[in-house]
Amino acid sequence: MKANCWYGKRDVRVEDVPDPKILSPRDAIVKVTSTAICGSDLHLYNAYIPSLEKGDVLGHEFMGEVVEVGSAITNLAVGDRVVVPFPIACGHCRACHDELYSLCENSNPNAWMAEKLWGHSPAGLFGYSHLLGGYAGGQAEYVRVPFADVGPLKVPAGLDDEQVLFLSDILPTGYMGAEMCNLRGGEVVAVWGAGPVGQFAIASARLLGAERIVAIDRFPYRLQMAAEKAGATDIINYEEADVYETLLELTGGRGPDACIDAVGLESHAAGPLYAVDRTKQALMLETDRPLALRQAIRCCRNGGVVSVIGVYGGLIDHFPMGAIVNRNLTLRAGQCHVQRYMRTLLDRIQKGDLDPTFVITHRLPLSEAKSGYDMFLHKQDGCEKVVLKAA
Amino acid sequence: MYTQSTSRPDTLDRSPANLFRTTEGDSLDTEQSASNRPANWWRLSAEAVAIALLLRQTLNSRSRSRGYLAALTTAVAGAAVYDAVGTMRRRQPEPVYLRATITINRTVEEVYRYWRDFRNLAKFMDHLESVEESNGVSVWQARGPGGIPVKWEATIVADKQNERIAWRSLEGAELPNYGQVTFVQAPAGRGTEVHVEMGFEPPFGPVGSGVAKLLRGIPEQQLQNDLRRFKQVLETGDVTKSDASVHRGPHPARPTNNQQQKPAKGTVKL
Ligand SMILES: NC(=O)c1ccc[n+]([C@@H]2O[C@H](COP(=O)([O-])OP(=O)(O)OC[C@H]3O[C@@H](n4cnc5c(N)ncnc54)[C@H](O)[C@@H]3O)[C@@H](O)[C@H]2O)c1
Ligand SMILES: [Zn+2]
Ligand SMILES: [Zn+2]
Repeated sequence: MKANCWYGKRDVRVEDVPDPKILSPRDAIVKVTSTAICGSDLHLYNAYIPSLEKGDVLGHEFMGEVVEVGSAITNLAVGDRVVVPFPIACGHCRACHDELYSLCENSNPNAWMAEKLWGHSPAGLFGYSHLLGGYAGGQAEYVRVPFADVGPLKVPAGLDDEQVLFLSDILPTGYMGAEMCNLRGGEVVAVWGAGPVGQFAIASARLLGAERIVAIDRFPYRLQMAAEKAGATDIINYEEADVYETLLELTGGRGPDACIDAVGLESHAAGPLYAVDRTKQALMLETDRPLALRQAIRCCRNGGVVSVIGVYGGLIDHFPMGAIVNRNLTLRAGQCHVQRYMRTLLDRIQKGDLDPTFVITHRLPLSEAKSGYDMFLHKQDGCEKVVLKAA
Repeated sequence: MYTQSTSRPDTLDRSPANLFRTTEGDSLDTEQSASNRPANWWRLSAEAVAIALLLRQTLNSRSRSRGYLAALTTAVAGAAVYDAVGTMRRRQPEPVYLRATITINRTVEEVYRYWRDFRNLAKFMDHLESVEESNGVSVWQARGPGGIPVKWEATIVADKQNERIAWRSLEGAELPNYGQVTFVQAPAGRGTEVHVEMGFEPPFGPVGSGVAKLLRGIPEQQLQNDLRRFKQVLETGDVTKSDASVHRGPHPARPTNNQQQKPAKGTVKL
């Protein structure tokens, strides 16, 4: 089969690899129809996440058709159309029972590596380093899906790929980002990053009752999408306006009730601070650049919530702990427990509350994955989200 | 690390001598004083694996993550050197003492029952080929990193249902060893804590190189990984496999036609 493989920094290649096989009775093999490139893939592309091997198959947002099932699988049949969540979860450990699927205790066969780095191991993920399992990803024609009785969601007839593909990751992720803000209705929520994850965080904050939603980014086309499609009431281009001042202005000096970091470890900023963090990162004094996160903490109102869905991998510098303690902020974070939200969000899509297709700006064949990565990385040609067609 | 609590079985004194005590408390002779802290050179192997892995990554990826990994490598290497220095001060040969623990989302009864059938241990313990049991004597067959076979007979020295099993190799074993597993109900319905302790005593005189190699191949991390597979088997019905993990050495995360895979440990009916 054809698969998109990692070979080093900014080096991915679509090449022939063997087809996957059933390795365990609870596996299924899925023939991929649509798969997407995620901001998380850019962290791999830029080689910020450790423990990749040359030849790893990338991709964790995918859907397709079941072509083979293991002997223990009774919920799926050959021919079913499914969307597959990016965290791999066993369904039987304590974390899975508590619906903390991205913390599944059994799905990372390399848990010891993650324990060395982070103290404990989270779940294994598709196509996301050896530290997180060494699983082949979904930017391929076929994928082996472990624990296929837990993760895959059957797609009801009448919905096309693009309407449901993002249930695999970014829609639930944006939703969880908003849910962690504990919205009761009427809040002001600020969202850093108007990438696809930020767009869905904005749309979800709206669904969950926020009154004003402020989108922050530097790309006018992304801010425009946030305002016109996702439901942001205000936008701030951080290259043109001071974010802190503007947010205070917008909230009568209080600051937003909740701040969502949908940027992650490669955040960018106007001004000298960016150069400082960029240099530190290059010198490895810190592994992640937390510019947006620092700003979110500074802007958040007293007693508010800072919800982090942007991905961080290691260490950050100058973390404003003083602001968190002295102003009673709540810091929440995590990889998304996708399985927990898929059905609810599918309902929302079917009812017409939400149409996730608005983020798609580019459709390419799988064979052109490399140009998709470059376009998405450099935000060229108005690129917001690239969908790769594998079949 | 632990606080003694009355509800826990007597696993808290982690000295090897204590392992030879039966449930009644009388000590079996081990020539091992409790004050002689177990050597931790095995930890060096675990750290060495991490160092090798990180180093390889560092050298491989002409990337920004290089410095990150270099920093990590330095940290891990520092810990390893510290361990090594500590170890070298002690006289050789030292017995090897390992311990590991894990929590399993199953009842104490289920976990005890599965372990008590020693044949099951070979399903998730990487170095163990097979265990057969008859008339209270079990025959254990293991293999070292170079495929060196090691065999011994063992007997159960304590067996308290749903609480504790202890075993010890019989006279004449190539590799005298002992082990104990205790099962503790975890708080708040979190299942069962499994605490395993194992000791190996290299024979006196010139140590057979095969035995030495085997010992080097079973660091504590290995035992911890064995327990993780034990948990996977009991909770999910199988050892978890990824495209990379089914290979003995490093392998990219992609499917393979290569037949050189690990023997399929696991797959059990519950
Ligand atoms: N937690 C999860 O489960 C999960 C799931 C998917 C993605 N993610 C993470 O979410 C993040 C965003 O993903 P994406 O696909 O939207 O990526 P993206 O690259 O399209 O979006 C990131 C956006 O942040 C903007 N940005 C950079 N610096 C900023 C700053 N200082 N202030 C405001 N905006 C800034 C960029 O201009 C860009 O538009 C990534 O870190 C990704 O790894 C997390
Ligand atoms: Zn993603
Ligand atoms: Zn689980």
